[in-house]
Amino acid sequence: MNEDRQQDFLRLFLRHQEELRAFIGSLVRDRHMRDDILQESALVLWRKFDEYDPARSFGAWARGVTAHKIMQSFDRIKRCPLQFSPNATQAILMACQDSRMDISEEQEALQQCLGNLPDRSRNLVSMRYEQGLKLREIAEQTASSLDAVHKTLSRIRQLLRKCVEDRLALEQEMGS
Amino acid sequence: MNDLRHADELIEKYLDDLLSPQELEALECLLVNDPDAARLFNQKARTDQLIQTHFIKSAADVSFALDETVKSTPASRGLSGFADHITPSPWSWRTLRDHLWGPAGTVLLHIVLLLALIRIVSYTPLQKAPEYEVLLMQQQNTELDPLKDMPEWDPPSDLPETTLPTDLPVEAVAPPEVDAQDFAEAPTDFGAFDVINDVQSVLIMEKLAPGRTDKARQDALGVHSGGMGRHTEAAVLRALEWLKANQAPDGSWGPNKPAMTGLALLTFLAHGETTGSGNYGDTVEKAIRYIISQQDDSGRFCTINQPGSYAHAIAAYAIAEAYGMTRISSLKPIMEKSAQVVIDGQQPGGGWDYDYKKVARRDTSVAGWQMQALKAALIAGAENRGLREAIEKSATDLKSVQDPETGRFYYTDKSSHKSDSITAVAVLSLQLAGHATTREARAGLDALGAARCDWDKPPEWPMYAWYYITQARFHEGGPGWTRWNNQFARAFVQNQNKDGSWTSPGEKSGSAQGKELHLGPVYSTTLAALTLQVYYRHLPTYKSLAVEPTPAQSAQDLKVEVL
Repeated sequence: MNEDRQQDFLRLFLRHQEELRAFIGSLVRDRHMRDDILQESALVLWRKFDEYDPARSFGAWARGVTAHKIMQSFDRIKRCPLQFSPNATQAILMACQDSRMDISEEQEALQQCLGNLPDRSRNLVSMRYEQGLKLREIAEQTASSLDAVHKTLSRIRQLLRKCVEDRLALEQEMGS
Repeated sequence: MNDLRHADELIEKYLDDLLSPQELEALECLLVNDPDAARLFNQKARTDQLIQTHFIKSAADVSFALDETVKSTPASRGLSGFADHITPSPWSWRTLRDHLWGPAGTVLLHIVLLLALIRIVSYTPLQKAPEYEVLLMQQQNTELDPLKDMPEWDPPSDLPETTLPTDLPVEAVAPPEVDAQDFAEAPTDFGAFDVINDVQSVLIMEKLAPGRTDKARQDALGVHSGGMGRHTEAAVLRALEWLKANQAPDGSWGPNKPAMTGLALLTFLAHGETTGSGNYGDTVEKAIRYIISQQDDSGRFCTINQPGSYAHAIAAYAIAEAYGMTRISSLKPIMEKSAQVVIDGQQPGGGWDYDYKKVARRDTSVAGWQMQALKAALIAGAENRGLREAIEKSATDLKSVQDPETGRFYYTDKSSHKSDSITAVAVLSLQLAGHATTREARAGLDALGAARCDWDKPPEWPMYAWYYITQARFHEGGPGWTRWNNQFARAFVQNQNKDGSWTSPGEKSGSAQGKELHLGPVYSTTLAALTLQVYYRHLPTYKSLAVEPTPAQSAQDLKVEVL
């Protein structure tokens, strides 16, 4: 019994771990804080695992618990530049749906899409996401305006999103 | 519809950390009132997170620290306030749940998850490392045997709850399939190597070591060496052979073994040689083992050698690259401990001094190796807090010792010299810190315009100076690099000794001591080889910011208007 429970929990948790991390990350901008909260949420999820109804989606249940954890951590998170109010957090939670796809498929698709970016765009993405530079710093280093950097990054994100979706759709088509 | 467009704008700003408090409020209002806006938010934030996870692979590993395991020994459990309430046996799920939550419950879950995750994913023997990470990938390189001087951890065996689940959901964590086509798409320009690598896995450092495979190395030589590649590669191979033949039985090179072994290891790694290489696998493994054996409890690689901050940083640099290229998991804590020494040894102003002293003296030359070590650790996925900050602080420190008149950088303070070599150290450090295009870095490069790579008229510390100048010029690219490339490659190839080593021309520098000669042939040979490996060792920092975007090659390509 005991072992079965552990096993069930681990299977579900591992399958949803990256989804949960992404969900937390969308609400908590600081990367370390995000990972801390994921870690703490894992403990709460295990503790409350008895309350989980297997007929429902584990992802939705886990997101709910995690969102609660985020709201509880407000005092700690406040030190970060931005934090949503509980109401907004709730609204985001409600609108979040289980993804049809495994996140690893999305990650793979994204990798391909990034490979197709022109050098300069990829450089920009790397400065922002790999080196974690602030937009102001990127603007300084590339001798462009803050607004131009923001506009470009935001366009690249949109293109990447579309590219990922197209690839996934294509794969699904080919698969079926 | 207008609202949704507004929400779109605000979300994008949120993702770039540009929202003002008022805008945050406006966005919250939209999210609360419009489910479509909230859906849009989820969509966009998810993409943002996906991109981040792609780049920061280390964050994808949930590690369960074992710091609390001490408390889980039966003795301390007996002493705890819970002891009175615990039904001694039998242990059922219910008693566990009812009574053990609290500190012991936390510990328990740590252990359960830890053991299970290890079992599922890595199959690493338990006593290997004090901390584990879940790596969702295939181990492609050979593993070192368990290191005998790694701290041992005894799993608390008397807790029945820690039993490993026997039937594990392997399919849930199977490494993603790699499409064979990924390998077929040969990169057409050097700038693409960071993403399309012919080893399509996180085992290769995507940015630091794009050219460290045979194919990529050849391509890079073709693109960057200006026709010298054939000669420089032959020279590098002769150097590798010489180094292999001159390795001590304990895996080291001397004198000042940690430093020289670090340099030699870096030379092999730069050529893509790892513990799994046919020709040099043993050499590399012995070198790694030697360096590890030199680390003390504080993380320092060499406390006896003065000034130790050079040697430590070089060894730390080599270990970081070794971990980055092999992903041998037991190297990670060693790398992080050694990086921590560098971080902790930084002065409040961002400088470093001999022996990591916190004194008024700061030293540009010392900083150069620290920065290379920190950057390599960062790229390899070290998770030390304060790592980025340390790099950034160093850039501030270096900028503070630039002579605004000449663009040169001072060795220690404004009363000291500002030679070509020191200026090049500062420029490379700024480039590594992501400040390649700043006014300071450019002025430094301008100041190096008169530097020559001439064996007959060498600077005071020739191998050292040329090692730094070559890298700084390479990262700069453009005509400055072309001019330098035409000089240095020829000079280095022509002045290699017959046996594959190099001798520093320091004695011709006019300096009384004939500087550098006393450091021996390993020093001059490794620096020379590393200099010649510049074509494929690193991707030029932001090289492509200076060139036009490559035209889209197929309909599948994204067309993005760029800055």
